[in-house]
Amino acid sequence: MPSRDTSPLMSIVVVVYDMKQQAMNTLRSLQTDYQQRVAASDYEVIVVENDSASTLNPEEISKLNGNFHHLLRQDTSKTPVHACNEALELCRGQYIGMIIDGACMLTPGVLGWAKSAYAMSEHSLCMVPGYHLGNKEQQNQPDSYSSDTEQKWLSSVRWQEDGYRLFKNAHFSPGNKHGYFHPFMECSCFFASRAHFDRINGVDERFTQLGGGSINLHLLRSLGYNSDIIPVVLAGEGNFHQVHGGVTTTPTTDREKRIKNFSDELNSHWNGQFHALRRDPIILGNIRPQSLPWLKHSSHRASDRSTLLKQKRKPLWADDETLRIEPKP
Amino acid sequence: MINKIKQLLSSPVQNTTPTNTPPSQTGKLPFSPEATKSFSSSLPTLDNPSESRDKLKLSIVLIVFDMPAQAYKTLHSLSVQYQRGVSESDYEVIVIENRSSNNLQESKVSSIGKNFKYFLRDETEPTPVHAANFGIQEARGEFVTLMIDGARMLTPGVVQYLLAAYRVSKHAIVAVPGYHLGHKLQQKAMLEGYNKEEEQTLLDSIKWPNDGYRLFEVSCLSGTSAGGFFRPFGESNCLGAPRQLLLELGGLDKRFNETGGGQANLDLYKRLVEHSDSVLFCLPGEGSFHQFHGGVTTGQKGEIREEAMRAHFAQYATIRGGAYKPPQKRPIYLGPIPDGAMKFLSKSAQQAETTHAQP
Repeated sequence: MPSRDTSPLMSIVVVVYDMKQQAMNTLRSLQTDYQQRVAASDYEVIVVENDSASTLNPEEISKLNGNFHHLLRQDTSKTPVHACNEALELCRGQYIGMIIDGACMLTPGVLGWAKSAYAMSEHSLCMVPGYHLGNKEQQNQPDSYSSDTEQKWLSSVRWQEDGYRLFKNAHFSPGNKHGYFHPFMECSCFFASRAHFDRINGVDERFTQLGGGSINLHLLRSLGYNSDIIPVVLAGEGNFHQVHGGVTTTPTTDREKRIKNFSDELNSHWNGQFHALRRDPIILGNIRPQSLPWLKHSSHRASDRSTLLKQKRKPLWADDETLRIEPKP
Repeated sequence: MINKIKQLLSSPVQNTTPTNTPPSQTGKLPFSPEATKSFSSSLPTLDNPSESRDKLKLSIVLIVFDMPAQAYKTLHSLSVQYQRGVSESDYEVIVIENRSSNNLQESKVSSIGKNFKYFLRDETEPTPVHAANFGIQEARGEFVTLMIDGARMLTPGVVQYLLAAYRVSKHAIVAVPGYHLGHKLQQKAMLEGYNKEEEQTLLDSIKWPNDGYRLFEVSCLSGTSAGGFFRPFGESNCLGAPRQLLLELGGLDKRFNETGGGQANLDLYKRLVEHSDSVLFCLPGEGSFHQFHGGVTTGQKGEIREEAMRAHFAQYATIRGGAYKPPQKRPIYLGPIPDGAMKFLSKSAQQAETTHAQP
């Protein structure tokens, strides 16, 4: 495990369970020679894996470029919340990135811009827009679309040479399906300061349903619904979910029922009033040509939303109003 | 070193004579700026953020000449009553006015805020470059924002995000996109009767200054930003840079002694952005909005404007050896996108998508 002598600025937590191939891609996307504008000394990656029949190979991890630390845990609870909290204990960085689903690989600018977001303000909640690989949400893909299909496509585009090629075959994920100028319901890769994670006592261990249920949604809102927090969106970057038989992204017969249970649990913790994070975000970063269509889509949907809310005489960013944050644009 | 640079900034002007201009082959004026539709393939580099957080960070230098009505609006848009999320101790505003028959009142400027300073200068040349260089010398902030045309009012987040950019990089060059009030460029709109009265009606229609972001509703992108946010800008009329770099570059080039400074601002923008250390930022959710005031390039008709533009282009070519070409450095985008700016963001993405060369 990492020594605490020379702490990096950032710690990135990656939670893994039974997704060896996908998680290795995610870890490759966190390597120093893939991520731009960061040095190895800027960050560490804490990989916490709950034991399964298909675990990561520690030797393979040790060959990655960067400071990777792998912890294999025995946990039969089916939820990642305990793994998250154990990882948070190990983090030495001041700014913590959380990838609660280890199947989400990143574009090459994420860590550099996250570092900039923290330089801008220690209160930055830095969110990386989420995409599903493939031309539609993965739960809506036909049976012919499989993990093998996806991995073959990834190999064919040589994504490690230019990670922005991931935008070529992607679809906004359901957690931010209207684009990043809409309130974020969920974000599969975000960064907040150690102090802000401590303020909410880490990851809520009451979320014990399969895969943690809606823990990721709860965590984002718990962090973001705070007047100190400055929401930042890395508009030109993305986290890309790979098919791996996940709880909500696999088209199973009981998916709807399962999601309803998750939603009920979530609402029970928010007095029946859970909402996406209705905070006006700051954008930060460069916009590569490959991400322009997504920016255009996001801005169109933002205009549609604005028109609708004006008609209903409702505020654009209700949480900013409730938190009495000075109106930003 | 600093004294030497100051001396350089204040030394007498050397007049330049434009070379003979070639005849136009394309209907464009000779030495018209070249169109640049794409950024370079190099990614933005990032250095360390600015370290000291306790000193005065930002000085805004505003140049005024013969435009009190417009300048007072611009000054209000720079006040803490209008700018959001900042206090008087965060920045200073240095107003440099070249004397005319129509000056601002010092007491009125000072009453806007404790952070406002006013200087009235006697200028013998028709250019703002000496006034601007004087303002840069007077600036106490580590970071200076030059507004060479006092007729450009701002959106309410400009000061906050100028400061934010500087926190991200101590080598930040910040370009605030430029707009013209009105639905057409003012040099065209005036031919159809656009004037100060019509402009005031527009401002009244959005109840300015109650919500400064509503300026987007009654404006269009100005000529040097017309390609949108995802193509290189030609200049910025609200241009932030580290004071030390401005001093090292000698500020605005004193040879730009044409009326209004000719292409002095474009030239400075290019030199700042192309400096090897510079990190370019664009604030796509903010803007500087030009008010109609009979300016050299935005408020003159037909032959008078064309003659001025011809002289500006020729002078640039004389000084730099060819037509102006916008810098192609890729910017970092920063800040929130207000509702009104979404249409400009969307259009910018559309424009860039259609022509952008893949890297």
